[in-house]
Amino acid sequence: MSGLDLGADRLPCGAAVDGLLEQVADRARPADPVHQRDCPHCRAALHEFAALWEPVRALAAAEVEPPSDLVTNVMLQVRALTRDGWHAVLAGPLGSTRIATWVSAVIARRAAGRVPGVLLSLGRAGPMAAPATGSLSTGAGPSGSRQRQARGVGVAGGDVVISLEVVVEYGRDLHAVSAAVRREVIRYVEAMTGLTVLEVHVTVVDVET
Amino acid sequence: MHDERGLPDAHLVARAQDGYDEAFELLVQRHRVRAFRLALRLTGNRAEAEDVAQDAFVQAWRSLHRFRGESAFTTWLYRIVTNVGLNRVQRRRETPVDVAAMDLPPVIDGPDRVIEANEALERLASAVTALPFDQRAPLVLHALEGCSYEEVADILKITVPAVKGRLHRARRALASSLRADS
Repeated sequence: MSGLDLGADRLPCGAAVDGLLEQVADRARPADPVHQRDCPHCRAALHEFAALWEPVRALAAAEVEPPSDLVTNVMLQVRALTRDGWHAVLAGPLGSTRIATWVSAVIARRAAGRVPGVLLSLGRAGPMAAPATGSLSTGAGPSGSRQRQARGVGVAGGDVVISLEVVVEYGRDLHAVSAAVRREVIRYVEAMTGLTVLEVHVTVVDVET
Repeated sequence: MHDERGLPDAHLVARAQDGYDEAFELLVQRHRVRAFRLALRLTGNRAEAEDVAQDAFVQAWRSLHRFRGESAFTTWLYRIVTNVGLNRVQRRRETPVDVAAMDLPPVIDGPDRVIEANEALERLASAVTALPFDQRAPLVLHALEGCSYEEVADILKITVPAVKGRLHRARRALASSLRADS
């Protein structure tokens, strides 16, 4: 019969049931190894619980693949929260074209990533986006209104200002890399969006080998 | 998207707080498996887990300015996922668990052993979701996600002895339901 009475606090030998369960589940050290080695109650209980607990380890180890569009869906919502009203507008004879500003940021990031020596880049774009400074982080946060004011939300016209953070390969000339980043960003963003890039602020945040 | 190398969570969080949503995207990318897996174990089905994980990340973005780095970003994220999961579970009030939609490990073994193993995991996953939430959350975080007692206490904002007490009850409940099934 079963050695493990799950309704009781203790086994007939006096060992605490919770202690034994914890011992198996956490692979913890026995509270009383000398007693356990010879006690039939403890041995039976441990044996049974170990078998019952086996699927838990298997479930913990099972691989879980999140839906492939999880990140995209999250970022669509995030950008909808942040960027309402954030469009660059190009007027034309047959209507205007609006380009969400983060599109420029994505293009800028990819352009920067192509520059030799750039290991990682993060882009941010806006009509009057300031370079990354500590003062911005003291605002009300990414969705806070103070920060939006600080970065100037409004009609952007056909101009865009881009801020980029880059991690550069150790040993490179940082000024040369920054200049190349600036050149490439302007080239790609202007070619793909038709917007005028007013400024490109490059912040080198780290160097890595 | 580039990742894993370089920028630690804390740096990306700071940049995201400055308004770089791309920094946040890297964080989502980096932690999506973790968040989704926790949501899946708490809710028991993929469709709901997807909603929970998504809502949790969006909520994380909205409250990012309140994140002060007192605990790790993962701890903070786990807390949000758990809370969103709890809200959802409370709202739906125990509808039957959709076993077919559960996440099971890929087939790698001989067919018989796989079926046996999958059945055991299905039984377990539904036994976990049958636990009351105050036992389920610590059990999932500790036994499945591998968080320490201290981390679980931090995530759930309860004391370490409370975590231990809930885990004791959860282990007993789980053991009896697994035994009843076998």
